[in-house]
Amino acid sequence: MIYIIDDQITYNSDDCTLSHIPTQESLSLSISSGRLFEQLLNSEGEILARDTLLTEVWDRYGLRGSNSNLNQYLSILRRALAAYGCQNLIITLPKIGIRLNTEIKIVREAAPAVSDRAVHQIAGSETDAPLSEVITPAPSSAPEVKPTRVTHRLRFPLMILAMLLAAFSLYLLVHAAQKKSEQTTLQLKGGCEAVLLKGLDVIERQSIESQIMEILKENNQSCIAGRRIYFDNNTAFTPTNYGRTILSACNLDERGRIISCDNFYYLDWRMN
Amino acid sequence: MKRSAILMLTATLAILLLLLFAAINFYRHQETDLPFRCSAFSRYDLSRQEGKRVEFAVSQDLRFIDLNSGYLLLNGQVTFGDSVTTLNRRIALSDGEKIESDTYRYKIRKIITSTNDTTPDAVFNQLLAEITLDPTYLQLGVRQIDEQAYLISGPLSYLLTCKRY
Repeated sequence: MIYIIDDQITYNSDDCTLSHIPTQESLSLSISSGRLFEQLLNSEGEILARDTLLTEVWDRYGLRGSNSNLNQYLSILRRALAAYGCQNLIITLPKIGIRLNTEIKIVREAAPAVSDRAVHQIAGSETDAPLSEVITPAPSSAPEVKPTRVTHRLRFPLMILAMLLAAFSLYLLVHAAQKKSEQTTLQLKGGCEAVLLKGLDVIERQSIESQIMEILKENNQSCIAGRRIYFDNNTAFTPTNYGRTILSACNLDERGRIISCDNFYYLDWRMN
Repeated sequence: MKRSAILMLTATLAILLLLLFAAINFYRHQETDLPFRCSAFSRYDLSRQEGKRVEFAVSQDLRFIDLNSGYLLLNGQVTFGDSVTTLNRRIALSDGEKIESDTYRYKIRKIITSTNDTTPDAVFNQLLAEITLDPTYLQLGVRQIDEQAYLISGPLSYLLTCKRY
């Protein structure tokens, strides 16, 4: 559809081109600007609520518009029209909506077929010459539509929130893992479990198991299921001293919680 | 929504989150906070280095009542060479402080010897030397290893596992 505005300007809704008849100058509107302008041109002077325009221009096409988008595009249209000598076509009614100035004449004409235009363009005919001189004003080259719904705007705070939560979770996990990683749990032959407070390497394992079993035996302690042994050995720096050895034999309840512990502490303990 | 509103919302959320973290951390640490009372039986065998039998079979009651007071009660039997004596002493604590997340340091205000305690001080001091290097201070680590069980460590090594009550 081609709209002739005040016999001065034409607007082709098929390619969103606004042309100034006396000078043959043209400019391309962005798709959203074009849709907005077409909505206004088809309104026949009726007041269009902002919500209606947001729905018709953006929402219907899966985009997210806002009042600021609407204001921005209205401003672009006004400037484009003013540049071609048409003032006050678009009237803003504060808190009500937008309407066209009915005192300005608007005539509608059917647009020529696209294939015809394409042929003319290829041939470089005079009638289509302005299309090759299309100027795209800076404002209309702005991003098409910024998704600006509340959920989208909350993305930044939510990201910060998520990052903080992730960092805290990571801290807790690392903290817990560090504590856990220090200790090793073994299942001993009798059925009890032994927690080695400082962990152990593979070579030590046999030796540690023997030490635990011997200390348990020396103190008449059993290694049966339902018992947990905590074991640690602080090796001394001198080869003649074995340092300090601590073994805690704990009884567990049916949920695996410690009920009581007996402790055996040795200075320079070594296997016989 | 204006940019300033978004920033304000972000800042508010961040503050709320930090407060939440602080609260979680605070209550997490509360678990080991005072008063802390735990007890366990221990057998300290200090014989081998001495070449002579030195053995303490004691029940221990550790109480950090608050940062101003607490005690470690040691009650049991001591075997030193061929002699067997009774140990019944209370290490009274004062002027405490939490020096790390799980370490408390108290001043040893006094060691109170019960009338039925027959252990010579020299023998008892061998046990005390394992618990603390400085006889004027008691510094113990308190690490939770189970729901109500704590591993108590001295300056030289872990000392015992006790059940909180």
